Amino acid sequence: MTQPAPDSGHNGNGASNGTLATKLRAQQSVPPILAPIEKAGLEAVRTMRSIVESRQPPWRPEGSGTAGLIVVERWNREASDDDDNDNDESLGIESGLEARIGDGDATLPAELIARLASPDRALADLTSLGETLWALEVLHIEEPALRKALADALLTLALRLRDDRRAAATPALWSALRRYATLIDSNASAVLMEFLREDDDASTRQLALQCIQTSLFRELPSRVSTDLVDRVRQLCERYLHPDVLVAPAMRSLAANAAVAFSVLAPEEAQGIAEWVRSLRRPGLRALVASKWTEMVASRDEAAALPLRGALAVLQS
Amino acid sequence: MTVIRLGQHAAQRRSVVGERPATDATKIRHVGLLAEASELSPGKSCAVLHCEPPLEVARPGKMDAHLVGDLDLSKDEIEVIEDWLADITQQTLPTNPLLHYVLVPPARRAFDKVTQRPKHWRFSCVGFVWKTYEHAGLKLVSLEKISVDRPTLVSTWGEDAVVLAEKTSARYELGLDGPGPWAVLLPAHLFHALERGRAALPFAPTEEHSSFP
Repeated sequence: MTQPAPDSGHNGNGASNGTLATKLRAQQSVPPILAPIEKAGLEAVRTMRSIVESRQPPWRPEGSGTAGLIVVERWNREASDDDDNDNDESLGIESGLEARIGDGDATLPAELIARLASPDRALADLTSLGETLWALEVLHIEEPALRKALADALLTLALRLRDDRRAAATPALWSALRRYATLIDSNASAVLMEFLREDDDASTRQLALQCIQTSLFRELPSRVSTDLVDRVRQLCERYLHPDVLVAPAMRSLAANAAVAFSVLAPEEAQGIAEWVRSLRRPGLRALVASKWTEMVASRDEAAALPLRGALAVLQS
Repeated sequence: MTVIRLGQHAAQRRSVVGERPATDATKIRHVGLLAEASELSPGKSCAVLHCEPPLEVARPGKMDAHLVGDLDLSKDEIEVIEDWLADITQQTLPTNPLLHYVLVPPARRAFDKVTQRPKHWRFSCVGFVWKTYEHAGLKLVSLEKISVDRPTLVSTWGEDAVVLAEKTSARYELGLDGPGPWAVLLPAHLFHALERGRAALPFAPTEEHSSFP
């Protein structure tokens, strides 16, 4: 497993140096290394733009917009027409796949997971892979063996997609990771370190931080990787700084780091809350509060307790 | 007055833009958030962040502007909205539009049914605007008592679209189940709320508020 590169000014082992909030307070006057972070933020914006531009959906009407339902109607009619032409790629969707999802076709999950079994073949056609991945994001899969096979396949693909420079690779990576985080054991999130490297786009890091939150959405961690905790702590130290929180993308990244850290190290959640409150950024504070509120509402009392306390501090 | 008649003055960034159907000047069929502060001309296209579907937040989409609601958002409120939009950018992608769409409730997360962990967001066009403002502490409309019957939906979106939504509701979990009435948040509801201003929020619409004005 790749270890995160050492961060200038930090030893990456905050646990031995007091709580994160204490460390953040102590370093308030120390200028962070902004250039790489800002570069990462700009890269994230550029990446997202290129993705959206390259994946302009074919059902998007030219010129003026239309109501959602009207677009839905057009899309469905065209999809229906498409049933007669399996090779028609004008909609960017696979003919009949949506219908099979909607009909609850019991054979579909295994069939789609099998498509991922050979990464080389799956990666050869990113359009087809993307379609398979979104279908697997939506499909309800209950059988444990299938869920395990899917998680394994998604991780293998995600690790390959991570370093794939094709524009369509990034949304496919995000889709694979999002679904992966809903499938894995809550203590198996250490592998998400692989998507929090210094080489990774800020946007990929943000998604990995969201995936950590997803994997521990309803429960407290019982066996947490120290390396993962340290890496997320390190990201908090970098991002939760007044000079970094100057753009929405960076505040969102900081909020996700803060919430990911709070679910990995719930004993430090109140310290994080104090620190976020002290930064006086309403957007950051609202994002952290909304994520904690959503988790508290989904957890049992014991699991909700640390975040409930943190929320009280944040909103005080 | 918080609902601006177009052509009077510039609308604020993240104002609520409404588009009317060609057939009825009292209905509003689509809403979005104005991408940048600008002077809007009636019936002209403008750049918006919206859930057409698909959701378009990373890069603005376009819609026709027939009216715009401006609450004179504070700097802090705009920051909260911007950060929320940055946070959901990677949660939704322009893949299959119906899988990002929902009518009732107007905004919700999709969950994995085994682990009960969240997946992506789903919005109606109105739900996207409503949820974004709600995140900034501006609950425009109270959803509890909304009741919209079928003829009202047809007058807003047309018979074909409503039939399609009814047919596909179960398949795509759109929330339009049974014969109605349904708790569908309409674009016009938002504009009634915006016209009443902050002091009257959240607005509780009744049947008479399916048109605007």
